[in-house]
Amino acid sequence: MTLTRSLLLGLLLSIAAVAEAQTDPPPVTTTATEEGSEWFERMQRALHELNFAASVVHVRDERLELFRWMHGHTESGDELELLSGLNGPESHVLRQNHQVAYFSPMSTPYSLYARHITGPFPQGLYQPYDRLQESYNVVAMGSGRVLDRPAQHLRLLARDRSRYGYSVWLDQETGMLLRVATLDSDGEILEQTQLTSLDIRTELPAELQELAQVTPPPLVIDYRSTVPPEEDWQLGWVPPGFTKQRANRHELAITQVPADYQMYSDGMTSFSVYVVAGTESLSALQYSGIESLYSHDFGEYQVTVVGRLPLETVQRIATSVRPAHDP
Amino acid sequence: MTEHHNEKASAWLDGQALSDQDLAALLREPEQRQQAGRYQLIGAVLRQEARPGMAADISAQVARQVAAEPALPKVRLPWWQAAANHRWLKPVANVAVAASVAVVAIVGVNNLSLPGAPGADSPAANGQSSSGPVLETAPMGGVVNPMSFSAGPMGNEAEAEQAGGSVERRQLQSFMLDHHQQLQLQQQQRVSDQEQPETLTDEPLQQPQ
Repeated sequence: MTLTRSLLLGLLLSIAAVAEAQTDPPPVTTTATEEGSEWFERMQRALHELNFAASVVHVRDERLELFRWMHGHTESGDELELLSGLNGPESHVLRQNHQVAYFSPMSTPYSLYARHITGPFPQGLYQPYDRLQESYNVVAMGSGRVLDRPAQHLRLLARDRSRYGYSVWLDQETGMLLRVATLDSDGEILEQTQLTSLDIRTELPAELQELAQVTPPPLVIDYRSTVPPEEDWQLGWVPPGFTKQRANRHELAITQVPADYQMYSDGMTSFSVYVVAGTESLSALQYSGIESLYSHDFGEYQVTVVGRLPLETVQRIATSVRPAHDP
Repeated sequence: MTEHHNEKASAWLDGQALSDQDLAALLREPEQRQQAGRYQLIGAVLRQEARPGMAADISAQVARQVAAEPALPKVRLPWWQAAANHRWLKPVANVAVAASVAVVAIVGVNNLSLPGAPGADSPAANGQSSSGPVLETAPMGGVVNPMSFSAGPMGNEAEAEQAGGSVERRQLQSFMLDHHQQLQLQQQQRVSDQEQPETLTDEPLQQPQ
């Protein structure tokens, strides 16, 4: 891409982004979205294929955290990934192929089967591109400089104002993820994560080598997710692109209150719906942050929606929940 | 160097034992260190211990010697071994996902409010202000959310109490933490749905004997 063309495209897309913030989905050029999907998939390959050691800083509100992040393949072909928190109590997340172990002084170590670690990056970056398309335009915005490297800027533009958007910067040379920011519908940064050092290597980082032999802690067997909800709760309104991922009946963390539970995802973000019988013991709650929560009473029940979405969105979802047999 | 320090230094030079704190205080400042060194030399001379060539300031010499020493091997266990010494080599059959309060960070806040018309049973009506600090589940800043699968409800109650959570805060934490747990468990379900079982059983690495 020539410089002139990328400048023009950038300008066009800035205008598009402004337009989108006001009314309709942006009139994004086909070339830009094609390039966007190529870069997105290139990033996902880089995250699985590269051997690297990196430092990462994550900033949200006034909270700042540092991580060491390493990834690579052993000679026998096993994939290893380690994320270590560098501030506060020592914590580590170790992925050995599809088994992810969480070590933290706050809980007994446990393992999960998962394709990726839960870390400072939005989880949607690990999802297939097709999964995001319905809710986001993934657009190549042009080039820039991040971590002293030539970088490609991608925008994940939300197709409506009900959810957040994302800015992603990738290494031009390797496709490696360098920086990601979560933006509200006005373009304000809510949260960001950036690499502060990156060492791409030809071999597995030596520090990871011995971790290949670590016996993972016990796998969590999630019996609870097999218990069906008591009532078939219907959501009268769900932002376009969200699909149901999960429905069960389980006892809530901490309070142990039994709830009918559903989870929806649009590929980048998810929300949970809880319906608890009896409203005496529960307060109506509302929390606004990058993660929002809204709960209200519906007859004999309390309905709560939690997710990484604007408060208005979770509120609208929560107030639309009805039992299937409701007249 | 203060009078107090002088007294301490003098006592030390007389051969009296000095507490670690006092010694540290004596040695903290470069000029105090120098003076302490001089006093020590005086003391040694008075006690007839001084040898020719004894330096007034030996700290530089010691520093050189320390630098020349080979580095001591680290005795601290690596974290994964330390974790293994814990209790996680238990039968997996006992495992049931339960909650842990994990880390709670106090965020400031007007974010918590009690919506709807305040009824008689609403905490807002009971004078419980909607503006106090709110506890937010924030293990590793809310990005890595550990969950415990062994802690029982008792432990959680105690922890929640310790965190000083009001009823609302506790409920808020409960929903936030549960949401994160379900997100993690959902990853597991997704892998199981998409992978062939034989692929999965091959995945965990073998432990060396």
